[in-house]
Amino acid sequence: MAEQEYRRLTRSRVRRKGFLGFFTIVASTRSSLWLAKDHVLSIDSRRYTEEYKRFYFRDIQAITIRQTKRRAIWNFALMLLLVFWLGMLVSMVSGFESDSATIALLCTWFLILAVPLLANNILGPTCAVYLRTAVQIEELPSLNRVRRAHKALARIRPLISAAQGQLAPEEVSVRIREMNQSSDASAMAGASQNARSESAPTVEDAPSRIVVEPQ
Amino acid sequence: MATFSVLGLNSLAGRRQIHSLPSCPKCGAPLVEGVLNQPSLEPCPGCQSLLQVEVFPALFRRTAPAGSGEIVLVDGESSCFYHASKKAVLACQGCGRFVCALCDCELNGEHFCPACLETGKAKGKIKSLENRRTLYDSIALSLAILPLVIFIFWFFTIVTAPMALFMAIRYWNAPGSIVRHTRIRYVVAMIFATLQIAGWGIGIYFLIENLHG
Ligand SMILES: [Zn+2]
Ligand SMILES: [Zn+2]
Ligand SMILES: [Zn+2]
Repeated sequence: MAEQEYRRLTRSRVRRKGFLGFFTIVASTRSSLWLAKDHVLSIDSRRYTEEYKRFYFRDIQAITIRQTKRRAIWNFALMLLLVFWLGMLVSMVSGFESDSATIALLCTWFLILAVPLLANNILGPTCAVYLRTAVQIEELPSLNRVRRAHKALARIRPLISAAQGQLAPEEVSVRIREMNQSSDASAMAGASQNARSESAPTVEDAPSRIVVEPQ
Repeated sequence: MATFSVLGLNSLAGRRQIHSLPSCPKCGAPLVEGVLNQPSLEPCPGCQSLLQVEVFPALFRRTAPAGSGEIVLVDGESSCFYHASKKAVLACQGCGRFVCALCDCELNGEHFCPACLETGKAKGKIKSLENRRTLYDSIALSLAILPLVIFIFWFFTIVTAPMALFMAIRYWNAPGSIVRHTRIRYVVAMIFATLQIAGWGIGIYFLIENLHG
């Protein structure tokens, strides 16, 4: 059986689940992105299973990068710890009971705290990335830094353009204005669409793709 | 029998988004031209979060009216296998049954009927439909290694080692991770499991020898 070729787009990152995500690393879901010839594959891996979501290039409507405050929060927390350790270190050195083994230990701890602080700032601003299709908006947790997201976008963009064609900048504003005007009308039509969709599955919005729901 | 539905049709939240303008993921403010397709991050007009929104032609794609399937008008016209009153538009590439526009499921340029899609998924044959795989190689490896690593559980190896060996052989040809094409975990699991089983064999042999002698 010929396996479909996937190229890695991002390394896996913990899919954040609120704040607790940090404490549940052992049982965590890791998320990564891969490129195939006609789609982006998102893999959510738990220890012994993998779950797949496919975003076909022809269906991707928008990609949104939102800068987050995560870097600042980490900086604050790490800085606080660092100051605490620095205080300990100074009081140890100045104290008469300064024994070189303890000082060495505290220095090591200082470095252990300083390295992530440095990395947090070298990696650049943090972000959340969302991918939108006609039927869903998915967060892509593996793109958690702006620079990384830009790199990934630079790789995906030509593939989407190849599948969908390109939009001229002035075309974007015209189409957006059109959409804005018609959104009121479609809001009213939406109610009747919902009613109909309950009776029979129709293929109106999704670009002719049907999924089989797991039971 | 699984139910068929268009992606997200059952989620109202998903439906509401469909015809809307792109919006800020934080405050939900609709985004207008100034923020879209800019080379760098720009502040959201609603909440000032820095945003970069790239939109593609699919956003503006006019969606075709519902493909509800045409009704058979002329007597003797071929009809859908599943809907006797609907006009057949093509034959399923899996089984050859005639299907109407409603039953036609396109997949990578091929057309299938709902039944073929269902069996294809069940057998894992249609790869682009798969949405979950079990990593038997990782399970086998854990069974072979973990009781050794957490060394107070070493006596569990009398059970786990044969289990690891069994899993490695049983699932050798099962599809593993969709992106990782190596059987190295099976190989390592088999080596460790075999060593553990050999260890138990030798241990038990000497125990019996000592009891007799
Ligand atoms: Zn906003
Ligand atoms: Zn068929
Ligand atoms: Zn039909």
